[in-house]
Amino acid sequence: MTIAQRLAGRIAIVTGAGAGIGRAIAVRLSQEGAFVACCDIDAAAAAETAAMLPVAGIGIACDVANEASVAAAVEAVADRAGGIDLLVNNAGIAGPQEPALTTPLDGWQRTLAVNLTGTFLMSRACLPSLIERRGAIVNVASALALVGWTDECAYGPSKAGVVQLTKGMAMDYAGRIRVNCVCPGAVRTPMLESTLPADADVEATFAEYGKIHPLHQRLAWPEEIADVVLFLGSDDASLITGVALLADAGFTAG
Amino acid sequence: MSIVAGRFAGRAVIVVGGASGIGAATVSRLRAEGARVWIADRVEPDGGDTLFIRGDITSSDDVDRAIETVEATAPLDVLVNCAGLPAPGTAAETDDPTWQRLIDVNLSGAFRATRAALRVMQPRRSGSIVHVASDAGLVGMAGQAAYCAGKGGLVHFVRAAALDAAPHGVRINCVAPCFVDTPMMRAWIAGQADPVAARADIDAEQPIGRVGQPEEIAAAIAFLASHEANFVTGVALPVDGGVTAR
Repeated sequence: MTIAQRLAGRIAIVTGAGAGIGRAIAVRLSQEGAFVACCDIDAAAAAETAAMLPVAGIGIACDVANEASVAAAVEAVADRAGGIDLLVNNAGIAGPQEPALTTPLDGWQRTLAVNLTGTFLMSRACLPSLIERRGAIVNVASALALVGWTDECAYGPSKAGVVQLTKGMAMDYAGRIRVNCVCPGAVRTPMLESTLPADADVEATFAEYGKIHPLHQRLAWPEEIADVVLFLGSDDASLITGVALLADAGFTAG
Repeated sequence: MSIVAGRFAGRAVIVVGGASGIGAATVSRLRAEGARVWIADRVEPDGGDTLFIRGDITSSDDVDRAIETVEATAPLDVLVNCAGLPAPGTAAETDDPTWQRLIDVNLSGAFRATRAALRVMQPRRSGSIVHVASDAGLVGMAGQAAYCAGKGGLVHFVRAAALDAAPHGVRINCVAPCFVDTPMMRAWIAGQADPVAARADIDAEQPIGRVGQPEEIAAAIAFLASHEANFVTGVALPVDGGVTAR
């Protein structure tokens, strides 16, 4: 049987690659032949993902909200691999699970810093190489970028910003690089688990959360989102740019 | 493009409107990935095809019979509906027959095909349906009143039908292409006062500076139809070089 290699010879950066969706994306891109640089604020987690890859990659410590850290990480990838063909801005935090009235300013700012500013900083640092190599950016936004939800005062706006940054960059660099984002529904990740109270019954709560998805009636697996990222990052999406592709099992269709 | 070897191995597919344009490219793509693909269309593809089913999407009987023909051989896994026609004109200048014909083919046809496929897919709790809508179904376009209405209706039909089909394990999505280099587009250009200028204008209007190729739409259709889109339903995926992002 022929094994499909949709990204053979490509060089990819995945942020937030130490866990959850990011780890699944890193593995999926590697399965398709890409050299994957796994970036994460947690250096050990980044290295752990890198060690899981079927095609050799690297783990890099990187705080996407920190300009110097981003510059160092992108430079390290360029030095090691020679350029960047695909940037996946996946790093994100859940932020305060609060309505506006009780959202602390530092929680608001950190959420915007990681989810939105981090996407901007990583993109800006990678753009020269991406443009030169006619590459692509895939951002991980959220279905909560498009619909209102309770107690997501910072997270929702941060992801809405990612969608709009996606469209703006798609226009700025149309015909040179493609820029898209995926908007997942609720995904079974350590990040989602971190939003639960310490004494919560994780399985029961996740089963309840899963009911927001008309199709499947369960949380998404990170691998199901990684498949969508792979498509948007591959040549099969050659005519797709400026798109927010929902992967939410019908959550926002209704 | 990157053919994904074996992604549709053993799958039974019907492509309505599969004789030319985006439909023909989809047939080629899915066959290359291992699917057994029936072509349903009013006219046989150039050179013929052993899995051709003649029919008209404005006839419920024809549509039902096409699905039955596939089912007689294999359980239907994927329906792709590419049937569509253009109907340029403003609301003020569109006559009743033009409007009704457009809606009958582009919107009611999608409904007939979806209904027939769901009847066999839902009991099996498995299947995927992909329609070809248009960026004209997402944004208004001057001089395309009926076409925009039909495609906009299709996009919204996909959302509603996807919700209904979700508990039965069937996914329904659509792609929303920009101008694509198909016989339909070439016929439209040929009908313009200055065809060469019309083609240049179309290319210049695209953010990426060119129209799409049928194979690029087929690649997106293949993704949505495949297991790789297992968590994707009820969406309209623009495949439009950024036209609807601005």
